[in-house]
Amino acid sequence: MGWPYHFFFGAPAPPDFFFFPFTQRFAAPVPPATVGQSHPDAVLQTRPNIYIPPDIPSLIPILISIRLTMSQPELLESVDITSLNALAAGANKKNPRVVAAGLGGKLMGTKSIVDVTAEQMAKDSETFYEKDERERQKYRKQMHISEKPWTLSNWHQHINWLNSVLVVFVPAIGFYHAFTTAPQMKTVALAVFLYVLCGVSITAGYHRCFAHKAYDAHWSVRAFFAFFGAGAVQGSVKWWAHSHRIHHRYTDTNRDPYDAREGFWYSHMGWMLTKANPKNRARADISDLTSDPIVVFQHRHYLAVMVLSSVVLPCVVAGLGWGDWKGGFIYGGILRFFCIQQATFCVNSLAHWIGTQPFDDRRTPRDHVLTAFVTFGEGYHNFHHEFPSDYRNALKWYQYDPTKVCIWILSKFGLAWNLKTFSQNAIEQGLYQQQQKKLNRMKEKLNWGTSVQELPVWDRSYFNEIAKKEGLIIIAGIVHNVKNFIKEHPGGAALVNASLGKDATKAFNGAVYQHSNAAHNLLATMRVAVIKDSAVESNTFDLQEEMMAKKAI
Amino acid sequence: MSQATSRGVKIQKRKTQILPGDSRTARKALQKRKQDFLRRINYFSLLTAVLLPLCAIAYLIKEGLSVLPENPRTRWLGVIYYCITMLAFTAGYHKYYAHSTFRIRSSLLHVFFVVFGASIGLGPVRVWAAMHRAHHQYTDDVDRDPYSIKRGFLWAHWGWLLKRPKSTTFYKEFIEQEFPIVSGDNELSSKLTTGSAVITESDLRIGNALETYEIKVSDSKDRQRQTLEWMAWQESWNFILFILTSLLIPTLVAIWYCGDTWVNGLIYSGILRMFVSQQLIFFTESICHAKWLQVTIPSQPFNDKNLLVDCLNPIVALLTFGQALQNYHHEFPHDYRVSSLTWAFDPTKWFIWSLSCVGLVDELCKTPKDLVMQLRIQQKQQVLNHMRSQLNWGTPLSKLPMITAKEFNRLCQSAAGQDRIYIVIQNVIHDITPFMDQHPGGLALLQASHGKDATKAFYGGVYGHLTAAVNLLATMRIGVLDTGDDEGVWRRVAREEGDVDARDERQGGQHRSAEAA
Repeated sequence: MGWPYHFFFGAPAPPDFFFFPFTQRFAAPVPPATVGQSHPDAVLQTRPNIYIPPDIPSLIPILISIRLTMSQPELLESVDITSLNALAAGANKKNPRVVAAGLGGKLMGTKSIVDVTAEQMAKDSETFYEKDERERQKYRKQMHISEKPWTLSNWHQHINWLNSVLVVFVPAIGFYHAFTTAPQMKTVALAVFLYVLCGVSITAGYHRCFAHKAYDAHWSVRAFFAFFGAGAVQGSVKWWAHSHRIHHRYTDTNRDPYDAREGFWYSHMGWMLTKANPKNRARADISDLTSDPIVVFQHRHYLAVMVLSSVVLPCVVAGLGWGDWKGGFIYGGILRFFCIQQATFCVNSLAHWIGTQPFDDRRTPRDHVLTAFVTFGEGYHNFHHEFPSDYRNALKWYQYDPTKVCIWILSKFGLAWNLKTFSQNAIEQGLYQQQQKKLNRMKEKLNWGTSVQELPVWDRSYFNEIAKKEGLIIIAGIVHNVKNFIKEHPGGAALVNASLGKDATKAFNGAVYQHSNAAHNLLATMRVAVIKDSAVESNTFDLQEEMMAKKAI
Repeated sequence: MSQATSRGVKIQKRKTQILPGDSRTARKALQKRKQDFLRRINYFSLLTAVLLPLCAIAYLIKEGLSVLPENPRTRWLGVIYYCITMLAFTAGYHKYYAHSTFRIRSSLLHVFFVVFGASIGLGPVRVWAAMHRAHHQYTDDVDRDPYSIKRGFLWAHWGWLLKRPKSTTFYKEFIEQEFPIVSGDNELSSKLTTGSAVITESDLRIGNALETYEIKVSDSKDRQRQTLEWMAWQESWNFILFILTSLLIPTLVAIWYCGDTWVNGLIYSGILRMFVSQQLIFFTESICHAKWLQVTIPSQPFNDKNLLVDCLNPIVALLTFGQALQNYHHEFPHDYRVSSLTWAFDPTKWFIWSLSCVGLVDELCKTPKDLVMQLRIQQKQQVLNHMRSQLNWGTPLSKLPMITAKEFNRLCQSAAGQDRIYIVIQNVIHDITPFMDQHPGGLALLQASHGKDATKAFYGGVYGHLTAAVNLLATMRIGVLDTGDDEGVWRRVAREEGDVDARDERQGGQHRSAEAA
């Protein structure tokens, strides 16, 4: 028996499909009819070569067209990957080149990230092994700093100094002063208030509105997000959304700016404290962002907006309000933005590290309530990567997603509209497939008994010869070896002994005792052979139901 | 007449139907029914499960006493005696006599089970165990399950005990078949064989052929006989034993050891303890069998075709000594444990296990882990299959029309003016129009691929789409592109639409004749 045989029987197609003439090529040699009419194989044997389903008469002209076009197949034009990649990278449009003004732009070095041509992008269609090989060839002679090992002489070249200053050194100074300055309660309240404003600006604004276009917002809301988002000191909208789009497009690959495969620390902060390898650069279409005047303005004057929003604002409010200039600067400014930074980094690290994967476990994103608590509801990351442009991150009522609620409230006030959701059908499909996958994995670990095809076929006389010696029993046309089980039979050994060497199908399936599902499973593991000239019913579950139904009548 | 009112609505309805007719015959019929009714009351159970507790509670109210005894020693006596008698019931009545999950090696245990089990006041073990076997064999069957939950919550809880079953002969025969009364050796063996099954006519013949199992069988028969004798003995002494263990022993212990009055000993450690254990045993039959009663998180990990639930309520589990996981128990009745988990709360299991360590019992029946797992998987699979059937997976390939490239191009041209997008992926034509605006990668990419084959771009050329995207795509199928490679299409159809059958096959689900193999 070759593969077509198993192929055919392993996966029988519904009968109404058999209008394709070539099916016969795959059909195994059908055995002559030896069993009764009720046997399901009867259907197989009487099936015509070409079966035209009566319920789809409209297919007939198509059938004819199959015949006509068989000889002259006409291939369809395939899309050009290069041009499509150019599209995806936004190279088709004339983007105004938005560069941060003055010192800020130079320090941020955004230019090097987006500096890549469409042709280079198109080469992505090769596998990563091929691509890695090509890159290796390219950098064989001259190594980028990120590929060189860290030594005492070059360590300062590895570090991205601007980010280090903003993310590590400034907070460190803040912490130092925090030990010497006691805050006023009002200042702490202000810090918490600003924390919430900036946090929501990052999640609802930077992330779901700008990066994913999950909804459209009024210009005032976008301006609010742009201002307070800058206060979180995580870069401009343009830069943030761009790298986030790249992250979604290239999750868990070398091109992923915060590649979770590199480890927790790298995806948390390491990626921004060190210089990125230019061979891993990628690009996404951000033409919608560069055409938004608010985003453009924020990017142009990012450094000024950032300083104003993150430090000056709390400092001035606390100073003018209750004279706590220094407390406002340290607690309302530095320590607050440090907390938001760490919370946001947790999405890149924690959400790819702990939790469950209810939708897809082929990539690293995970769902965890802890991450959700830290990040205003961005913790349901497996869902988010599967359905990125859904304005929700959590679906169930008990899952914590305040950002979703904020957006929903905005929409009720008419400040947000066009809230995007994926269909419930698609979401449940994802859930189903992942659960099925897990279940299949569990199934493979267990012994379900030899499949009927692999069993030898025995004559009845041969069976009679050895049955009593070997402790054999026939149930549903299959010989089972119950020798080692006799002692353990819950109904007593006598019953099993009495049916040794006999057909106990009826007794097993309800005449004596209606066995539980567990018993059916156990029985399957004891299969030895198939008996010739009898109806084989390997699915004893259905058989039992049939028999019990008959009995009930 | 309080009894008459508690007869139930059915009988009263009939009464009203009869009365308008001939009044004399009607009265006669009524009288007969009343007699029948009085005859059908189980007076022993009425006494133990209703009258004694009622009297005790009335006494408490009259004297203004608390539900818990004031004397701490009596309190401890109640708790300890509760544990002893409950263990005698769960391990003895339930796990041994009804389910024979282990083998007793010392008749001392028989004494313990039979004597202290009687103190719960649920009648002789012979009747109870047989009824319980009937309950397991005919679960949820209205006629034959003695405490079928389908006859109402109260019936399953209390009613079945107070009122003798209607089909008396059936139950009598059932009890006789399960636990025949024995007087002599010969009688027993004949009764055991005739009682056990249909196919056992040939028992003798087989017995000769199987010398190897001979000893085993006779050995087990001996033990069986012993068990039956103990059961018969207990049945005849049931009432005395009940008075002794349920009322006398706690009273005497309370007087001599706790220094309490005899009334307190009788009420608290005697009657109220009995009442609580009765109610808890009833709860496993009522609450844990009622799927519709959402008192706990309903959980049916092994079989959801019946009404049994694994009651995860910790209080019920605590007080019933872990007997609340009925879904597991009904699937694996011969398991001496209540759950396959090692650390499940299950004092009955601990008790039986310690007995086996001491050597008083052996051959504990344990379901293999794999079997439990298999059943769990099968149940989950059924739930998943249901879930799958409720979802839209797109038109199956076999139902889609075949469209040639020429026709497809014509279709695309005709749609050029309108805002429609057709994309071919893996030789299947998709109408992306409804999804156009939702595409996370943007509309431009879709428009650029309109009327083209975007297989490569879809599967990684531009973006490696995830499962969700593939599913969404499938719901938008409109046709199969005819490229002349029918074989490839058919293979795909078989793969996509045959996968359900293929999965079933792993569990042994195919119908074929042996000759083909």
